[in-house]
Amino acid sequence: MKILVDTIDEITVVILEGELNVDDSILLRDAFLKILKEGAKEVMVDFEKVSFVGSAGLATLIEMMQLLRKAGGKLGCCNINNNIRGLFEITKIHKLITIYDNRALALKSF
Amino acid sequence: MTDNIKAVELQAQGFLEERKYDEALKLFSQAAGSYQDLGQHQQAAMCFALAAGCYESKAGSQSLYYYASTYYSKAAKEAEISGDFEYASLMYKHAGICYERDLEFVGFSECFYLSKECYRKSLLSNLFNKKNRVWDISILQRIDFKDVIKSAVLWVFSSLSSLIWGHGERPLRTVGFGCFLVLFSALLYTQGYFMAGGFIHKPHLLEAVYFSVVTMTHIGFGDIIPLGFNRGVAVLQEFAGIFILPLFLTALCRKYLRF
Repeated sequence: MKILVDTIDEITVVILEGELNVDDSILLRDAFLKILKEGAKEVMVDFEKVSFVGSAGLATLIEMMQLLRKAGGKLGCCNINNNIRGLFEITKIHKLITIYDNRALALKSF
Repeated sequence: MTDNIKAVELQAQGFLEERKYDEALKLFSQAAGSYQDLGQHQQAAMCFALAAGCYESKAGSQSLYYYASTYYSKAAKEAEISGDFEYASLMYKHAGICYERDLEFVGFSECFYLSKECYRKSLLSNLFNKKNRVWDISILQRIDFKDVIKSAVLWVFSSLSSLIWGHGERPLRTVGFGCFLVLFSALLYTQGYFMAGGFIHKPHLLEAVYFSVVTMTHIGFGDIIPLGFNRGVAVLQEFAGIFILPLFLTALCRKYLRF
């Protein structure tokens, strides 16, 4: 999995590419911690190029959402395809993490 | 091992997309079991939640909500073990909703209570960060203290709600708390003075319990007049009694009118 980090209008955008499974979720967690240590408060995860999210990926997202919230920030997700959105809804994660249709809308609403 | 689980999850998600819920839920349960064996409880919680979602999606007019709620409960337990009380609370809440849809009110009551208890624990973990796995001083320095105070206040109220009436699901707890309050106040009364029949005296325990019950239930015969310190205790006890009796009746009605 590729993880790219960009900053737009003080919002940290994490762009994921590939599959988010057990091993990749460890990489994502490390990337998140690095971002947090650098002082990021508002983090947006872009799922446009993600084809699969496993349970480990979902667990990592929840953990990072909680960590960000404790640090006074918030986490959002955007560009999620219908299958992954279905997973978010089944696992009720959409009630904990805000989901935006696209990045522009997400950056505007954050 | 993890490669196997990943393959199982991938296959299960494929079945889910094709709306083959039976096959998907079997594989999600299998993946959850494997994660349990590996001690990865957060991932197990997610897989159980997905299995529960399969049952819920499949349910429709069929009476399958019971099974969905069972899996939501399993997901909640796994989330609890992993220390993620916020997600556990959410899962218990949905387990409760599914039980209610299936007219299984005992399960609903229990899940509602557990959901509130997990919420209370999540507030505590916000304060003390029990998980502490990825905590770092640079993150610690950025804690929003307004949120900490808010969590602390909410935790106190939630703990009182749990203690006094089990979040509205344990009416007997209100009886127990009321009895404790009666006895505790009675003990305090024995330290002060009463006036009865024109005589001022230090009451013995039985008389103090009698006065405590009369005060708590707002009967107030007027045969005994508390003096000094006892007057303060009586006012506080009466004030507590204003809340205890309605709480007991509300919890009782809430619990038993469902059946």
